[in-house]
Amino acid sequence: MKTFAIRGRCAATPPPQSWREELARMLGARPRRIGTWAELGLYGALTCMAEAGEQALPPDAQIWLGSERGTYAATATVMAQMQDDLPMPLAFLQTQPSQLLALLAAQLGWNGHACFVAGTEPQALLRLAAAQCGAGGLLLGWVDEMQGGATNWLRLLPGGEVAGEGVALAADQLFAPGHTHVRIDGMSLRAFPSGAAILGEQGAR
Amino acid sequence: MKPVHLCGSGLACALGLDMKLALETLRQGGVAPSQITLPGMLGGSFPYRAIADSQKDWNERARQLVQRVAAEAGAQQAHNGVLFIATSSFDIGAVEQGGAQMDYRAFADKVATWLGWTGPVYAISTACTSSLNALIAAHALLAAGEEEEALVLGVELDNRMTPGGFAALQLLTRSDSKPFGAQRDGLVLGEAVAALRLSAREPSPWKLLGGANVVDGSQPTGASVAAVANMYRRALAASGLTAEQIDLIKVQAAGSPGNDAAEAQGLRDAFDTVPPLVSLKAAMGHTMGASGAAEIALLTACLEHDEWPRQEREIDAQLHVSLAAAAPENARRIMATILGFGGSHASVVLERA
Amino acid sequence: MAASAQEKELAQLIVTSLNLEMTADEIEPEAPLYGEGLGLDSIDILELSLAISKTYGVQLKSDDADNNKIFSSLRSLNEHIQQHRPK
Repeated sequence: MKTFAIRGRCAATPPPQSWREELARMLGARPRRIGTWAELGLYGALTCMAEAGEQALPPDAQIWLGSERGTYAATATVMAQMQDDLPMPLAFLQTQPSQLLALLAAQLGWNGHACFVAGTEPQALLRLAAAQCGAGGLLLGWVDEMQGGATNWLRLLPGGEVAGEGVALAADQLFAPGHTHVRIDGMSLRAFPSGAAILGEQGAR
Repeated sequence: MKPVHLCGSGLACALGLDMKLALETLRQGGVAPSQITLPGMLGGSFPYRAIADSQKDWNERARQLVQRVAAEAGAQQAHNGVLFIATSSFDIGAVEQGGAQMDYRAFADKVATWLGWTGPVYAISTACTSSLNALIAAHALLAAGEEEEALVLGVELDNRMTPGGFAALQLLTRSDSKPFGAQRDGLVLGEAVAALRLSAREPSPWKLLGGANVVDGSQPTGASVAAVANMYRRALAASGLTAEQIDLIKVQAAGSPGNDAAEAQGLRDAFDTVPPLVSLKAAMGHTMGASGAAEIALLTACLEHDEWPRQEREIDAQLHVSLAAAAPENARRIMATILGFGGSHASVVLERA
Repeated sequence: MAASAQEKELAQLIVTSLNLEMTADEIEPEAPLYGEGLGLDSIDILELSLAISKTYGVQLKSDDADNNKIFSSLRSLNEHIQQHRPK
């Protein structure tokens, strides 16, 4: 069982209309050689980090990324290219979900542990991440480009004083606003809503 | 922290359909690679270390290989535990045949059904380091007491997309893989299905002490010297060992001009005296997401059965490293490293009683 | 010297295949493609190599010792392609 304080959040299912412009603004330029899935991931992660007020991830933080369909579209593109020639190199690289982890590492000026978990549930992603999490916490994301797109991220720090048992949280609500702490116990999620029953930093003092 | 034991392993690769056959092939000096033909001007014929199994239907072939390899690792004793599937290509080969949709969950469900798995199933995909990241994740769950049994299953089977992409990135050799070799000019890809069974309750001479993965975004397709050194330091710290205590390192050394050089330099930065090194890439090819599990399975079997894969003889003198011509005596503490796309650098530490 | 029609065509291929935020006219025929200049890196060169092989039937290898010369500018790349183009 581990409890995390939520320090930053991006809940964007779907992302706002202006997300591409917003991403170009955050990067300082329009990304030119990555696909939509990776762009969505960058947009959400950088938005989440900005909300957390962090420019860079600490070296002992970890990035955990999940997706239902991941690089589906890039893979379809490469399979079409392979009909009569080799695929384009950048298109092939985009079929590898771990390219997004490398892009994030470069963008956040960070070297560390990052992992992609394919097709599972958000609570399973948090479970695996929590088992390895150190004091630097997690940047945990869920990105899909199907059905209008989704890019949902949390910046989580381990610990945080909470009172009571919280409330059961559905997996698809993990990234939703409304709670300041989240707890993972085996495969079950509990949320600690803002305001109510939280000691927080003040209470702990 | 509970101790995590490596209790069983299984392997199907170009060397053979099981470990006994693979060791037998090594004893005879290895096997010649088969060929794969790719379209386009930069395509053509490339060596490819395929599994010698003539079944044409991807799903049927994968089912037979997965069941066979899992059984060899004793997977039936772990069915209620956690299953990690590690792959970079999922079932793309079946998608190419019209036998699957590109769908992660459907793939994981299919493999779990083949194994009659009842516990949780996770699919880890971090390109070539997938199996090692799965091992690190499994180790964390078992050491924390959250699970008692785990199976890490590396699956990398025939498809056109992966070799096509590697050829487009001009990473493949048209001759053979020469790890750390003076004449090295690229990788040879291979197929593998490999299983490692971990347990927190069953004893075994082999313990998994821990590991580390360092992602460095500065090189999209290659290794970074600083990240290699950082990865070794972190892996040692995670397993509670010092550099002097390591008896053997299974390196990546896939025969790539730039990557092998970065790896050698990173090793020399992390170790004042570099331990004996071994590469399995020339014997079995680079089996990408399966390679971590496949190479650990083969390496531990080699040490147990006194076999040793033939190593590259003409080492590049500029790298200032060497490969061990025979197994070091009493090699107890062993690191296994994989470097890959997405700037991923991973290593795990094993200890033999 | 202004860009020739062949060079303009190649410049367009570079802009399209690398998704550059510029027009083909903005690529100076004599300016370097690598590093300073257009700012391309080794992955871009691989991408461009494959696009050139598809369009012109000319093979460009990443380990060619002459690559610094071939990719030194739009003009030198075009000269190399025209010399090696199947007739």
